[in-house]
Amino acid sequence: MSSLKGFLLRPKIRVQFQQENEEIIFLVRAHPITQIFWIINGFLILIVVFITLNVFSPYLNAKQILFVYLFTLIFIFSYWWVSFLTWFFNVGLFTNQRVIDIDFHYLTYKEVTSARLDKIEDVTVKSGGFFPSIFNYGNVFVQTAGTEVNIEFINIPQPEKVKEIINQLLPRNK
Amino acid sequence: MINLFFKIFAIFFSFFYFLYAIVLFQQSRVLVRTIKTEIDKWVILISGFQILLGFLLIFYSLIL
Repeated sequence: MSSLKGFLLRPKIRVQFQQENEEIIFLVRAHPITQIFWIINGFLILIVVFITLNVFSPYLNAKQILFVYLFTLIFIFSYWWVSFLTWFFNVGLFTNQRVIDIDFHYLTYKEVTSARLDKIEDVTVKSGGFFPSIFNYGNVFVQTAGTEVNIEFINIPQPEKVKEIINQLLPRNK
Repeated sequence: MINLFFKIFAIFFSFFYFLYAIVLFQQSRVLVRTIKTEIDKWVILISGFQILLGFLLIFYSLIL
């Protein structure tokens, strides 16, 4: 279950486009606490359907009521599953060669952004607010040189530590 | 009349959930192909299980 964390050193994973001598140093994903909302949403949907079904139950027979409950439970399960997959597979990877940001939008649209470590110019941490302060999460922006894309990691745990590790990974002559 | 409408809607929504589950399963395969993790088998298994759930929903909606 350690692979369910938002910050993993030397994770036991491999990415599709990983090069032969490329080693993943650490992985980040959104802090698990930021995922609480879809869990709560699922329970709210269940409560709303339960209340609605109680109102309309005089007009439906037992099989129909059972179908509505089954469909709701399956729908909520699917909603939770998609939300979990979206969180789990949207990751930021730091290797010994580059920074990689993998995003899956609505699971169907894949976006992979990478920048070589020697192209990184600046790393900025932004963190503020009640929950980010308590649970120690924030945003890390990686600015790269010239026309290279900038990369940002949103709501990741221990952003200051992430910045520190990135600075350690950067080439010494920077 | 209500029973007929309910049955039509049940079949309709069940069928669309079944299609959605198939798409989800295919996308899960893309996910585990992009990032190989320790839970790959569980991802495929649970996503595949949803296709079965969709099929059971269609079957149950037909016998309503």
